[in-house]
Amino acid sequence: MPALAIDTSTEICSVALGPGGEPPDEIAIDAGRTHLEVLLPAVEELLGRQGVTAAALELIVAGTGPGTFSGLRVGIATARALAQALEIPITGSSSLAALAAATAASTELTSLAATAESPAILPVIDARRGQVFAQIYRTNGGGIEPGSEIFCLSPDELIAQVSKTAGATVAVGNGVLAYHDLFAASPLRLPLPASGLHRISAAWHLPGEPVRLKYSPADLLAVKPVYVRAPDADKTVLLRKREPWL
Amino acid sequence: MILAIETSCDDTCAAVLDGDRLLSSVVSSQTRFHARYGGVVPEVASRHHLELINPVVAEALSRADARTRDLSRIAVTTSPGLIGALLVGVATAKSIAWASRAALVPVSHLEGHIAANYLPPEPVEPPFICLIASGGHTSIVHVRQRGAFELLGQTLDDAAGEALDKGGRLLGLDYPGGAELDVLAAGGDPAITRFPVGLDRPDSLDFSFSGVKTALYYFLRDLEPEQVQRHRADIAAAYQAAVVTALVRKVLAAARLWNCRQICLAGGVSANSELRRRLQAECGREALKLRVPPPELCTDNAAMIASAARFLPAIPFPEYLSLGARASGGRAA
Ligand SMILES: [Zn+2]
Repeated sequence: MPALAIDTSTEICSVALGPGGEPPDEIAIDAGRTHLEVLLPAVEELLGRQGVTAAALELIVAGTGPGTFSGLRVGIATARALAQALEIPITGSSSLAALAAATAASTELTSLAATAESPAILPVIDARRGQVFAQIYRTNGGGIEPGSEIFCLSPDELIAQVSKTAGATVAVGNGVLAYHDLFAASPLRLPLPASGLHRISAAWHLPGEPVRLKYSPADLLAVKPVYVRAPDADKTVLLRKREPWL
Repeated sequence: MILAIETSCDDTCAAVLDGDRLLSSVVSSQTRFHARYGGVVPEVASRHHLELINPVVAEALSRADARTRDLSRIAVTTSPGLIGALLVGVATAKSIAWASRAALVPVSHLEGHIAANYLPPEPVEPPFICLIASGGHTSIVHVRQRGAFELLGQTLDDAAGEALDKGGRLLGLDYPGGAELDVLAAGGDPAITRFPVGLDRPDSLDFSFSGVKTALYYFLRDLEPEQVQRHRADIAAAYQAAVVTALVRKVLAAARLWNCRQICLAGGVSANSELRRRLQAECGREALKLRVPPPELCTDNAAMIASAARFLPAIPFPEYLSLGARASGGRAA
């Protein structure tokens, strides 16, 4: 069943079409803040080169972050509107889990973890304003499962928090790249900055097994961004209190 | 059949238009979410748009008894507005267009407000001078034909609706205070004081409302609290009169300058009773025709975006896929 996956939680705009070949076909663009402009052309190109029509799609999977708010909203609004217009099922998938799953499946993991048998994986996404989103994932037999809640901390706080965890932990993601010196000086193990493991790939949102979900319009709204942080309204309120004529 | 989407500020809107028959128009207002902040918080607005957009579109299609495959055009507001809010509407509109292979029409929010005048019950024929006044914009445009306009003047600072809301807040009214200010002012005597009318000179069709707002602030500061209490309605009336005087003088000057016999209103401030009363009177005196769309077409809505899309060029599939949104004004690209 042709399934389309979208991830716009970071500066990378990634779309993947599965099952198709192995690995699934994918386009990833360094979009910066231009997700709205590059996302649908990437989808059109991806379907075009696989000869898949929009009407043939059977499932949409949206990366739900956490990540940059506007980027996430473009990806999720797009995924939801496609599902709504095509009347096909949609499901959400954690962008941190996608990073962790790619790392768990990589041959790089064993060399990075050295002696550790089941290393933990720490996907880290840049949250801007000096913070990162991160979550510990445990590996077992190639699978992953969350080993903590989602953290929203400064990189220093995060490193202190996860250093308490016993055993080898491999950290990946654009949050690691944004604060590379801090992470490199920590006990965490890191792939090289150029490694593909730091970039989110939408292919890891695709279901591993053929799934057939029933279409329900209510499911559209269940797919929503994982914001973690509350909207920054406090500043506006404070400003108004001080200067009521503003 | 056209599906239109509008998410430029704090209302999530969708509408379906077939020829000149408005089949549905759904507006989900977020005002109650923003009231506790005393104004629209962009990140809060963007989050609500994402929560509301799919149900609002579904409701508009269902009330119109339409499905996405019936749509030949999708219209969407691409500028100006809050960028994070616009992104949600444009991403949604493009995706529905892509899925149904429909053409896409980018519409500027101003063009939309003007085109509210082309809808039933009384579709207006150009030429006319249009005053677009709301919480987000204040502009005077000259319309020679449908689908085109010339900007003659605009506010250099606050919008007229914003000035009325802020005046309401200074007088202790809840956000958005403009409508309540109107009610309060109705029982007041504006002769209590004279607030300045911004840019009140014959060579300019632009507006400025920051002076009147500051004047009100200092006027209230220098009064004893019990005097403020006793004269609240009078102060509200004087303040509203200054804002309305600016609007009325400029729009009449525009009609004279462009030798135009017809004036149209657009935007939420069209509902202001003092503005309507003064414009009625002035237009009667100068034998001008005044046209005001029904209130639900004056405030932000998607029917007006669909209406504008009938007279604007459509971008065929797949050229619009890379279309973006812009926060600043001007025409949609
Ligand atoms: Zn408006």
